[in-house]
Amino acid sequence: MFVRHSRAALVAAALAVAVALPFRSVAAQVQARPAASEAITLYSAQGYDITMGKAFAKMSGIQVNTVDDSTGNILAKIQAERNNPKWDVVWFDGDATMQTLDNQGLLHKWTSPNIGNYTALGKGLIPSDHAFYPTGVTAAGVIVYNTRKLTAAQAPKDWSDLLKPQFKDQVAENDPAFSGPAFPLIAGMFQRLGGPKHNMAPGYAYYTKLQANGLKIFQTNDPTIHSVETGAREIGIVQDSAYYAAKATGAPLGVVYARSGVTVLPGVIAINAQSRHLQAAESFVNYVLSQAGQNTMVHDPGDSDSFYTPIIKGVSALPGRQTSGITWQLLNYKWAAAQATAIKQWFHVNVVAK
Amino acid sequence: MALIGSDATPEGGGAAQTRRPPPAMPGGGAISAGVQRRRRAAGVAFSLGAALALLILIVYPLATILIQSIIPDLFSVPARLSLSLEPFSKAFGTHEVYSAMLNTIWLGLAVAISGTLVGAALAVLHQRTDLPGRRLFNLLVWVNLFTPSYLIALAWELLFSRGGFLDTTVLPLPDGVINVIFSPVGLTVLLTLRLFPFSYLAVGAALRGLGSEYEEAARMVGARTLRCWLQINGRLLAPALFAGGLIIFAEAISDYGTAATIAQQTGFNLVTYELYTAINNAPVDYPLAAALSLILVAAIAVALLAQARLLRARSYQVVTGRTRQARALALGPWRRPLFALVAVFFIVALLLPLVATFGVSVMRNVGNGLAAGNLSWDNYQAVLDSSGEALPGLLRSTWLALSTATIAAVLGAAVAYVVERTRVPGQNFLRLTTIVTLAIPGVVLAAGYIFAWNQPWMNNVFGGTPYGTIGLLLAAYVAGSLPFSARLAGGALAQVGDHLLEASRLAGADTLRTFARIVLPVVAPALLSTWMLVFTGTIFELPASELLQPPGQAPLAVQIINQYNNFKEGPGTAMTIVAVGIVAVAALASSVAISLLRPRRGAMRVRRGL
Repeated sequence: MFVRHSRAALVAAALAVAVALPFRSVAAQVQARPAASEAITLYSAQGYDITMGKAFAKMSGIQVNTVDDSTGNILAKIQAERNNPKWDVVWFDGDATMQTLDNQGLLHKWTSPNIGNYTALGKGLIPSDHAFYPTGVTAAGVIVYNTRKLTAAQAPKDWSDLLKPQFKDQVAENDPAFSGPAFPLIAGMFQRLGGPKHNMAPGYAYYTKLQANGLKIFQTNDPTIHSVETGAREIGIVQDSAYYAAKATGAPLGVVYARSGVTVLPGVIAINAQSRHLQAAESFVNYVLSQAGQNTMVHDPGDSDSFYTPIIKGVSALPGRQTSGITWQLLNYKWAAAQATAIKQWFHVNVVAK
Repeated sequence: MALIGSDATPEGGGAAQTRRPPPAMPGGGAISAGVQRRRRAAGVAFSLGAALALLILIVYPLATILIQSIIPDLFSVPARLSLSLEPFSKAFGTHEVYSAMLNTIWLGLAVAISGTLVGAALAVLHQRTDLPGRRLFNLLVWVNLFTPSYLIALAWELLFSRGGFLDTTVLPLPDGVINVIFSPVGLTVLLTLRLFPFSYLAVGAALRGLGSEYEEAARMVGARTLRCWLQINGRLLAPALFAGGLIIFAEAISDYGTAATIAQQTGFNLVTYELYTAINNAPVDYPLAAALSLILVAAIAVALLAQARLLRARSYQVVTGRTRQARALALGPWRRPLFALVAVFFIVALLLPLVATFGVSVMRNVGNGLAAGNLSWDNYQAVLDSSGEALPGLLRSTWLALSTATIAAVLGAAVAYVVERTRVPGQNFLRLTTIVTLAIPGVVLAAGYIFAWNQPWMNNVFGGTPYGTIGLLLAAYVAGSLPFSARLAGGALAQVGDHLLEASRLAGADTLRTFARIVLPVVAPALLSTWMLVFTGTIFELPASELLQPPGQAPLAVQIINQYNNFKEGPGTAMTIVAVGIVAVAALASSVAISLLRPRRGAMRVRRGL
């Protein structure tokens, strides 16, 4: 009998400890926080966001509480919070996506004093209503190949080369339902092929042919580039920052910036129109658009998102990143945002699920 | 046949109804009317408490999101209360949704059947035979649960894709193999490997309470071993089989992580994919997501009706106070082949994915393979660096998982008790709630939590909203785990004889006391299994973690997936391996606890004599 009771007591004690733990821990966290200092909440999908928040806090004394998550989840959170938003600043890749938030009237329109810091490429990316600001650019899609399977001479030079028979069953790219950069890549392709009137037919034709040539769809950059690294596919189309990150680990990869142009995918940052910390939020964005902020951003150790092309004057890209010989093509993001549902739906039915 | 009916229970026909009402107190003279009233009040309060917990944790948040399927602008700015069927017409507006529905049902059924059979077979082999190494296999089932689904899917891609690990280093894989792996068949296998533990746990818990007396009775009248098992024990285990099968079905149709990678590559469209597209793509469409969720709810409702029909009007109560120790079955010449089969099973289910994960975690770059210069412990150093984000995340997730597991196990048992063993109004509602929740993908419940607990009026009343606090994340974890814990406890509870409870009541114990002194000890092993299950699930839980993480306090699972998303497979896999290690320690602790708490021969008698 005694054994049974002591066992029960043991279990009870264990239960009590387990239940009590979180409360103690919460108490500790509350105490650890500095009292009465201002704090902003950042929703971000950028790899360098936490580093940036810390650097800004050190400089300004304003705490940055970061939710670092995928763009899809950040959009889901923002939408669910619409009647009582908790975020002050949002930051991810893709002006077309940010435009949908602007269309809903969620973004604070203001003019940053650092607007003069932009390079020519950067200036072209600022929306006329100043609802969001570009923070750096990558290419939405570049041609990446396995250097053990193909020489630089054998590698495709332009998008049209991917339709050739020698690359049958060898090309992989991302699913726009899952991958942030995939939609701007596809929309950019439609825009390039469709001309100034945004004729959709050539874009449909291109992807129909690419699909017929054995295009393989993976969810995101990661599995796509992985399939090229391992040689499962010889060629992948991925965001260029993903290529540089993989290359830095020693992967047998080469890159081609397509001759006819690569679509610019800007990182974009915006402030909540209903933010209760507008001033603090603005000063964080100003920091991101400053040289000091950009230097922190570029040099976040080991972060793949840091392989972007800076668009703030006086900031240079990480060594190893190609900066010349690239034909940048700006995406008409308002058009792209309006076409997003239709293009994604078509792509899913006719390419992904075929 | 007559042997398995309720007539055969040692106590005679008394247990003929599966759920009988608490008997009126016979000889009530010994107990005053006041005491009786107090007891009844305590019982009602107990049930109300369980119901209230479910209302707050599950019903309210789910309702806030599901109702948007008919009132799409309920939470818009400005809000509109007008009814609309637009979300449904959108959901059913494409051809894909019909094929997705069919695919989802087929997949769910296939996985439910294969997972239930595999789990049950392993549970029987573990508990009732002399199979060599069965203790180790038991441990491996747990480890299987530790491994998050996105990881297994990733590992499978690593292993089986063209140019993958097996293809390049072991032997070239023929096209046929790759095509089968990345097909609905491969998907079924993958989900079976992932979900069979639910059946294993349910059947294992039931076997613990099932003595050999029915089997022996059958044998005395001349039945052979196999027949005994299929006809006697097989039928007695039916509630556990169905409990496990139902969970597997619900999990399979609502699984996103595993299915997405492979299903998406095969063009095998699923409802979860449509759902994901609605929630994670701009512009986000919650009303559509709600309508799609209701399709999954309908599927599980049909499965539930089928289960209820099949199990109706039969007693499965085997823990009676006189249960004797079970007899181990000698496998004879079957020992070795069965051992080999089980071993191969675990190698495929577990060892390969874990080895692949570990392999990636010590490689600088995956494409360069196992060359000496490519190996290092850097990733682990980065993970365990005290100045980084990973270590606090690891600690945060560990205590969150400890708390979630404890609360969910106890609350689940309480809910199961109210549902299975009391007759208070609304018990069917409780039962339905727990099951319906299983069929709803975690991301939908998590989004419901935002709508439910981020209402502007809460700012005025509480000076803030629960959304964004770590307490709400904990609540969401508990809500997500309750259905499992209630179902698993329910399976064990269905076996506890009414006479045991009656005896307790006759001896003067009230509902609470009966629960604490009779029910809890009998279901304790199942409870501990559940605890472990929830602990593991919470450590690796993604949807709630992602949507409800307090700013600046990311749980471990979010950090792991962010590493993968940011092309940092090395640190990601290293974090995963460290987390698997933590879970292994917890598993060891709980298996020690299970062996301490397991009701032994004679222990029942002591309890009966309470």
